[in-house]
Amino acid sequence: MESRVYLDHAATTPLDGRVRDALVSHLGEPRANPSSLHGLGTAAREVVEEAREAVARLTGASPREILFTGGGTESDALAVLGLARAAVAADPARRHLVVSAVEHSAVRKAAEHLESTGYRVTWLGVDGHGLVDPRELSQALRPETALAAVMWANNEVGTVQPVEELARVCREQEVPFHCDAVQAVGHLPVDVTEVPVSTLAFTGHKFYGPSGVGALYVRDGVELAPVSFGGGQERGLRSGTEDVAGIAALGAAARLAAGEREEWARRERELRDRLVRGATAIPGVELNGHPAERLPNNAHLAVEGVEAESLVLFCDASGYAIGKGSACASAGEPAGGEHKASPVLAAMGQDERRAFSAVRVTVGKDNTPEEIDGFLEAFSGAVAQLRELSPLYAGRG
Amino acid sequence: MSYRPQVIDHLVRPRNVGELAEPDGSGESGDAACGDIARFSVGVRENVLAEVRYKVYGCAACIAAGSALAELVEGEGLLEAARRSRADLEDALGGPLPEGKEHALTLVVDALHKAFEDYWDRLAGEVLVEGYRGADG
Repeated sequence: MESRVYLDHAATTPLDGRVRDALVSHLGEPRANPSSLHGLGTAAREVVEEAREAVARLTGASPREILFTGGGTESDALAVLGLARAAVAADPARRHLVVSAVEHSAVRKAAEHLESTGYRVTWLGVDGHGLVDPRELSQALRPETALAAVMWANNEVGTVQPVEELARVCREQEVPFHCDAVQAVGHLPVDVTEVPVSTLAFTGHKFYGPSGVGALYVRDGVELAPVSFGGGQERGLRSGTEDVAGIAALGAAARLAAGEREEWARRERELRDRLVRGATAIPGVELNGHPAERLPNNAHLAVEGVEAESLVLFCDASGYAIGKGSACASAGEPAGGEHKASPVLAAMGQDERRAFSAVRVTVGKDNTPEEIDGFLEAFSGAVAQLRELSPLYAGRG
Repeated sequence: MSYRPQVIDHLVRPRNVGELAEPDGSGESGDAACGDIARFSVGVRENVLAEVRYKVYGCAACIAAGSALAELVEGEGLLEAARRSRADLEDALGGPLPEGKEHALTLVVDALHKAFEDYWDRLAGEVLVEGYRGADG
């Protein structure tokens, strides 16, 4: 069934019309490889470098510190594996990582991969709101720590970490700090001149840009080893012919975000607060994550007595596209694998039943208050119907 | 993974939801600690399954399977209903469920069979049937 109202912006955002124009115009141009010497190649190179400048401006970086990649997951992999390999190349004893327990699977599984090859990983716990304690990070760092990784804002519950403090702790102890800022860029002020990260991953399709194109900020002087090999593009750190049209579109999205982010966030916050107020007025519905330190667009709701998949599909049938609250840990694993909640809510101390009851509703710049009110009506109806169905909720609604 | 329209229809317009106040038999299956749960209650008149009500906590497939099963067997003769298999239920849902969701069929068929067990046990005044697994057993 077609959903008419889209409330799943943390999964991906619609392409802004102005970004689509940039994408289409570059797809239509004569194709040339930015590495080619001829005039068309030089023109393609200019498109890539202009986009690099726009992306750098959005994050406070210098253009030479921005690498283009194939998306957020690839940026995270390049940072985690690349920092680890560079560290161990400089000193074979440096085989220790510190990683938060609430990282996106792109970081978590890269760290687990290193763990399976002989690295030791200290997994940093979080409090009930999903916050990492900078003192715990400080205590976890050792002389042989190759890198620490804590995300800017959580993709599930929306909690924003004290990244400035975390990054400073790492800088003081001279440990490279990777930050997955995929959910943050375009929604929160992200400025690498204020937050001393070593590397920062983000992607276009979370702020009205294209999917399949991401960026990795690599601070000047940070040692990063490549994890793919070939033609030496992107300073030898990400070989492969550049996706010129996609990069141009990412640049266009970055220019939009630089100019409009504050207005987007103001609107998102208003809609989000309206949504949270309405939803938590339903008995047995609670907000997960930090009440204040959270992404402006994220409402993560635990709904007692209801299973998330049913609720998501029920809302979908009423015309509202929302997300399940707990990324399924078994996704992509062989069918029939154990049904497990993601580690994020478990790390926050929630039991499986509550984890499976959570839905994620994420608003965007183009949603309206009327859409939120319509959603709340559909949502409360769906919750009531599913509770009536539930043998666990008898006589409590 | 996506569900057939028949599954979504049973999810958003579930049939026979509830519990009978005075059932002739009732049964529950699933894992009350953290997994899916199904509960069936049945009313039997002259060996016909006159009333079937169900409740499910679980994924969309479980809810839809419960609804489809209740609809399928209500009004059937008791033995006819007891012979209904997972394959019959799959047909009622328009075909196989998405990979990894097949447990939904087992969950609701088990709960219905436990309701039958309970009915027969009550009829006999003792534990007559245990571990009846139906047509799939």
